[in-house]
Amino acid sequence: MDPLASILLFFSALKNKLFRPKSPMPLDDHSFRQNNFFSKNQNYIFVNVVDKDQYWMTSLENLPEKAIKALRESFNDESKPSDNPTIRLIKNDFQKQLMDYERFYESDSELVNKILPYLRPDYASILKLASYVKSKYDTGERVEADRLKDHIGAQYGKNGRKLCNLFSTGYIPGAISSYMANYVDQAIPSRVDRSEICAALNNLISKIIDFSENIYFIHRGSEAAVIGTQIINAMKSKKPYIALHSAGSMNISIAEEIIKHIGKDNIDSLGYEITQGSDDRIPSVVPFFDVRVTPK
Amino acid sequence: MLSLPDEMEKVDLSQVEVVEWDEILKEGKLDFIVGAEQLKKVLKIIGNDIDDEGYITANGKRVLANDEGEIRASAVGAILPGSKVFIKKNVAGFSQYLFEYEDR
Repeated sequence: MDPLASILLFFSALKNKLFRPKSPMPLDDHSFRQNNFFSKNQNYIFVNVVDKDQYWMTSLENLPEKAIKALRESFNDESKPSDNPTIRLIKNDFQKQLMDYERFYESDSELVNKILPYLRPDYASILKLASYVKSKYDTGERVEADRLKDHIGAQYGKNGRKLCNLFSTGYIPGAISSYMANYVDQAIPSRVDRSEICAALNNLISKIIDFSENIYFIHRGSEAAVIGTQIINAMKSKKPYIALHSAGSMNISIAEEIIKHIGKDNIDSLGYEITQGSDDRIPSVVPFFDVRVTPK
Repeated sequence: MLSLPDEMEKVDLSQVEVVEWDEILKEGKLDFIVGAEQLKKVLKIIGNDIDDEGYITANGKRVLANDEGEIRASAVGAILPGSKVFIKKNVAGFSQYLFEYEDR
């Protein structure tokens, strides 16, 4: 038989099966090999058996009905029959990121894990991502951290971004460790109704967001005059807590300009004082500048 | 015809391992890894579509994630908010896992 014909025959026989080379071939290479494969074979996908980390290739032409039903559960809100596997659909350019993220959460901090079950879905989603963002900042992956934070902002708006910033700057972990963790630790053994715990924690998060109205995280687009005026108005309204957080020399310059705009005399005459916050974060090559403006 | 990656084209076809779907579907968790074109095809196979603004739809309505956000096709499988798969199975679902974890 013609070699080409035999190859065609071989692959046509594989249409309703999954296959992979016997000799080790790293089909999990998300960047190059998979892209190359996908561009050449638009009817083929990779299937990863998650628990075994096994990669197979298969044709889309003969997906079994059971697999189609399992996929529909993710996108069409169909109820899940008990014998269907969980199938996630993942674009290959996200795969590495997803795996990194899952690995990260295998060792996630007890602090976040402890409160997540009690939070409403959007708070839980934001805080979980925020703790991942924080880990990226802590390991110096600033570009990736900023990118993730932008996406949180795009999806959850101003409050989402603020919550993320509150987490990465230590506000949320601080609040959790001083109040939430203790509360949950006491509430669970005392068999307090979960709904009570949920209400207490979600209310606390909402309060923290409200309290953070005048906590500013300076970025490239921050306008010194606008923020300066907002801070003056906050002091006139006797707000209990005002803070500026900036990282990187450009943002620090903006923060200094804001303080100049407010004027130290103004701060004093309105009964406030300005203090530079202590920085107990992981040392970084990026300089930080934290300032608090609080009533005397 | 299937066009394999360059390295694989050198593989002896007799050295290809084959498995039936039934075997694979016995496993609890599978990831279908797709490129952009494959994604469109899979969505079509399961009865979904992508609207003009790039959101995934079912029966003409945009599919919502557990966090009530609409899902962009370009974000399917991303860990970012807005990804149905991730939000549904990992982020919101994580809460349920922790409930079970706490009860152990």
